[in-house]
Amino acid sequence: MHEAGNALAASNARRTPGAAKSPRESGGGVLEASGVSKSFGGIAALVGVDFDLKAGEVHALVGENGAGKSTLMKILAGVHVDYDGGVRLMGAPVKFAGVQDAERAGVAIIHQELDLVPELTAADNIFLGREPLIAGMIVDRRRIARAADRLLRRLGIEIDPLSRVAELRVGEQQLVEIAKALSLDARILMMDEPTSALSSSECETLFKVVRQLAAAGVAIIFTSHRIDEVVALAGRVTVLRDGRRVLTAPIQGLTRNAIISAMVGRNLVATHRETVEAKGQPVLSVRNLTLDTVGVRGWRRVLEGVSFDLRRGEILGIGGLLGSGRTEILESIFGAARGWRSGQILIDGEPAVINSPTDACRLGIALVTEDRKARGLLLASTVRDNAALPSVGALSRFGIRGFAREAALADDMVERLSVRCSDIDQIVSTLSGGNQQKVVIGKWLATEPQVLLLDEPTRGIDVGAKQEIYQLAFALASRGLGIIVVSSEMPELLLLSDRVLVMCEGRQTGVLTRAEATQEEIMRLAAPGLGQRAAGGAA
Amino acid sequence: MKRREFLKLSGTIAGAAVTTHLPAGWTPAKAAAKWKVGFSQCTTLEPWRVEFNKEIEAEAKNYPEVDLIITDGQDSTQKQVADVENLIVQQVDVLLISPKESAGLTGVVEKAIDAKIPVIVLDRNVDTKRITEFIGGDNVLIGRTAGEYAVKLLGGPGKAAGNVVEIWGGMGTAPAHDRHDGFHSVTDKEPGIKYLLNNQSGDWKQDKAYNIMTTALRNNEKIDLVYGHNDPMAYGAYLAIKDAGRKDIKFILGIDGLPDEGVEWVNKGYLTATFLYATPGAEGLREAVKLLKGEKIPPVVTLPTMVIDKSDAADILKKHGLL
Amino acid sequence: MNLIRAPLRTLSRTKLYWGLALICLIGALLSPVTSSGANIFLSYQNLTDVLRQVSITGLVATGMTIVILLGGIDLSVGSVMGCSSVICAMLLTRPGWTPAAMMGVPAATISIALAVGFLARFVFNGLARGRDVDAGRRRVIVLGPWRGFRIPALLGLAAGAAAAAFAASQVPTKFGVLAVLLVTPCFALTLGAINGALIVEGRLQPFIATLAMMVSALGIGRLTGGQDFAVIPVYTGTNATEAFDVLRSMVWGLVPMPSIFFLLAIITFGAILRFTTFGRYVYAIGGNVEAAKLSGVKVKQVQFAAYVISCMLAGLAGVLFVAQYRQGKPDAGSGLELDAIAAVVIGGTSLMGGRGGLAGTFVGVLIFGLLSDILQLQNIDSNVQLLMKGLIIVGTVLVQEQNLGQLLSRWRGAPSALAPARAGSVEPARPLDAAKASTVREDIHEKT
Repeated sequence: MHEAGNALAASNARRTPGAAKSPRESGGGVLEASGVSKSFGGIAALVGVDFDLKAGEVHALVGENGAGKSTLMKILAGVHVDYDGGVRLMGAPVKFAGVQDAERAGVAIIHQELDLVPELTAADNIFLGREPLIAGMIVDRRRIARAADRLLRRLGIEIDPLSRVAELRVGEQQLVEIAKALSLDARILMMDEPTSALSSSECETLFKVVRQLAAAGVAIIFTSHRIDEVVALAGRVTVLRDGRRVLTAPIQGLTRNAIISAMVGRNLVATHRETVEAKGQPVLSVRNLTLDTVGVRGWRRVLEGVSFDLRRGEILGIGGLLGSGRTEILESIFGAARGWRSGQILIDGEPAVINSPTDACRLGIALVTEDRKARGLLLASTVRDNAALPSVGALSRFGIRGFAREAALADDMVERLSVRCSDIDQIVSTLSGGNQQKVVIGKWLATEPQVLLLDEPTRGIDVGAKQEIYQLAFALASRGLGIIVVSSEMPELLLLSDRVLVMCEGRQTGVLTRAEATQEEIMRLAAPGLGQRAAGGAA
Repeated sequence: MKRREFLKLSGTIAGAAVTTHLPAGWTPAKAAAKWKVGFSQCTTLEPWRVEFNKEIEAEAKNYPEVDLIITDGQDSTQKQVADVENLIVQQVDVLLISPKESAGLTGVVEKAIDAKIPVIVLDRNVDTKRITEFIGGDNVLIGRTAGEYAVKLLGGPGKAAGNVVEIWGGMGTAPAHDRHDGFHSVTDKEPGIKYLLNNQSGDWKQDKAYNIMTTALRNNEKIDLVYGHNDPMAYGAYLAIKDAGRKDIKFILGIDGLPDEGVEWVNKGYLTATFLYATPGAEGLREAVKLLKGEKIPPVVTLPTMVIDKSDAADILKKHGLL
Repeated sequence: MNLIRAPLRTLSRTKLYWGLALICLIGALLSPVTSSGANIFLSYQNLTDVLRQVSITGLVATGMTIVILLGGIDLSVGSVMGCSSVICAMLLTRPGWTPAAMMGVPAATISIALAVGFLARFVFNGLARGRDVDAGRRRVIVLGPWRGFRIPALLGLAAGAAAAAFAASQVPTKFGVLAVLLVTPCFALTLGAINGALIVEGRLQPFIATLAMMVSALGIGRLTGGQDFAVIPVYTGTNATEAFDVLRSMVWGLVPMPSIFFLLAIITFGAILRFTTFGRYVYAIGGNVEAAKLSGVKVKQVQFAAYVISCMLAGLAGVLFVAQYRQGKPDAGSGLELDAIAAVVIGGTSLMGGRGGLAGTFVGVLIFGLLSDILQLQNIDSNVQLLMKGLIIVGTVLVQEQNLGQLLSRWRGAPSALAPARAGSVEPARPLDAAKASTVREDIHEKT
């Protein structure tokens, strides 16, 4: 049965709650860190952190951005060689001189940015730098192919070892990285945000492989922002906050909220919103929206007959599987969709011609894209320049920019949205994910839109910032904005939306009110093929 | 879409093939033509070569049985090689060629000879002895004539003295080196003659020579004579001198002697004298026709040169109807 | 540590100007002297000569900077400049409806008409918005049919007709200076518009589209000149108006006229890039074209305008070439595009777009020109000069980018490739490319 949205449901189905870990979990600690501290240029990233890892366990490392999770993992993996405190491997004190040193000791790390060479095959990548040679000179390609095949098969990964990495999906690339780490005979595997770019089925495969490895005695540390994944996969959890260890405990007996509280340091529970009965004419109406795009295999119908209304003050969520066309709806409304579009879009009841983002801006529509770094921000520019970009024209006189006005706009936005930056001249690439997202939202808010389209607004953002963005959305809606949210995180979707429109393979399969919207109902509507409940969803 | 890709690709290839192989001198075959003569010119971006082409076309009119095909190498060795191969394929009866440079064109000339096409080389030579004939001016002789004239201007043999600025033509070409060597073979014997510039090349172009001369003027307070390897460069030097307002340069010498150019400038007093570098076009075609008629032609025909100074200029212009 | 860092950083930011100063110093030291002991390099004559010589390349480099800032490139400027020189020379020396006139006059008419029309609409927009901006209000400006279209159209048509009349009146007698200065850049502008259209609407890569124009413009130049002419000589006073010499003269005996054009262009476009919305959009598009488009920037219009500007300046350069060298020929600008790109790159503008500016280009052009001058004054062999220029380009760029710094630090064996954390963010800043790469991978979703 193909599960929608969350792989956790599937994983949960296969494990009985409580009997979690591998039988060898209570084995001795393979890796211990005590009193580890590290600073970067005067700013402390870690302060006196103790950490231990047992053989065959899956240990989750969580914390807000900047809490020090990556730093700790990099120290343990030999990426950072300069730190205070001690690390013991199998009981013996050790100090890695570099990544290769750590690899030789059996510690491998898989970074969030994958280290693969796109143009080479998976097999080549696995053995990069350690290729077996014939007569010491020629690369033995057959041996590489065979060894890679064996490795992948052992992990149960179905990837053709001779396929070019560039052609693999992100999830498959990740698995190749794991295979590479294992080919080094790693006993300890560290993964930095492994699931941030994976689809649900890929997550499932990843979890399966992780459990296999754990069962075989490999110890695994991973970080994630998705608490539900942590709960599903990990045996133990360590929470870091502001560079210090706040909590280490087995996963049973820990509630989700407890983990979040530990991470954030305060009791932040997402507040539900009173559903406001939105009245009056819809600010945005979509009638019979159809979109065809040309892909690798020819024309494809991406959207068919999508129709809905959005009223002022309402938050409409769009749910569905990856690829069901949710983002395309937003792009079509914003005039940024690629392909042939038909159907009507009405603003305040009037049919609107939207052929480019410029048209959309003029009509008061704003789009916050899902990949803020690639399409939402000018990474090399300052906060001020990014915040003012859509408004540059409106703040100018006879084409001459109003510098003072732009600065005022940026200052205002930084204050209203509590963007943490040293000043508005800071380069945007140095901000954390959450603050970057706030800059993107802020630049659009400055254009005083009537309709705000949010595509995966909290992706890659730590828990504290997520809450802030939720509060922001609520505030904006109560001020009269119409908001459409696309999200793959079910809890987020359910929290934010007054109504949920569910998409399945380009078609609209249903609109649920807040009362009707539950995880199961959404997944049912989102799954292709008319069927009954998702099997195994509910334990 | 694989099919679309294929169509696009084949369309591009076809388009590219057409552009590179459409002969620049595509002339429809004349009905009664007995002989096809192919002429590969290296470039038409210089006035001397334009004159060259005009001449050969005018001469072709005298022979109605000759079908003349002219290709333009557009100053590129590769293009000229392709042009010649094209002419070989068209099975011309005689190949006339004025190569851009010797080394690069030798191979394709030999290919033509192997295909039993007699080759007459004009103006610049190639590196093979198997050609039927070479017609050209003797650039060494011209350089020497210029040198002797310069020595005379500067005081006479044994007593000549002065500062000389020499502006080279394109450094990769034989004519430039020949004109340099010829000139120096005479002037180097004079102890009083000093050369101010070190291998500065104007690449046969007026604007480059202008810039070189401007700097030379700045660098040197007294210059007596300017020797440019062709008339446009000499004229460019003249303009630089005029713009700088310098009065010390007494003599400017150029080479080519085209009526509407060098001779005109000599007549106006811009240049002191120019030396005829005759265009071998008409002569080349005449020799080709002789060859086709079965007559014997000599292996080398050297076109004569002559000094053209103010006294001769007016007559020449009248003869060409330009005065 | 910080005490050393701050001045080092200022030094690094102004390194271009230090480079210029260094070259001037070298030039002065190595310069030959006149018999009266005066330093030739530093002489007013020499310096103004250099300024004059770089003006043509400089004009073209100005336009090229804008195009490169956008992330594009314009390889056609050399050929367009040559073609323009042919047009200009022909207009000056031959009366009647020559091919040049037949192309130039309509081009001028259409360009002027469109320019005036758009200008009028721009002014109306500005007037309409002016009051709102002061009051701090935002309003979508929608001009009514009269202001938005009809009046500008009428004004445009009127201006176009006037231009046509003016140009046509010059046709029977050869063209005068003003007419040539009007018609030739307009002609070049049209070629630039073709470039722009191919790139923006035809979605061709700038490299390819401008490469095609480079070849085509050369052909147009040669066809216009006709079979019988390789160059078109211009003898002011004899076959062309004497007044044309003014474009070669020294203004008030101080500054060469071509440099006035160059400086005006640099200042004007420099101000545009720095102070106007157009300039902001140029940098934004160069920084990240997707993000700019999704922020409502009219990417197509800005790109189109940039290519038009680039070719227009090349046309102006063509006129100045004719004035200086008294001839128009199709290959007048051969190699010019590469000189311009070299100057732009030396000036610190990144070929990827989004970084750099005209101040840098100005200095880059000067550095290039002064260098050539020094080599020439030293009487160095032409071929050696070419080699040295190549080395200079490589050297300057190495110093420009952080490449040199990275190179040296790698030798010294710096342990971690990560840049140190900047104040204000606790987590160490990842190198930019890594950040970009991770986002690209983050959104490789399979959308089927």
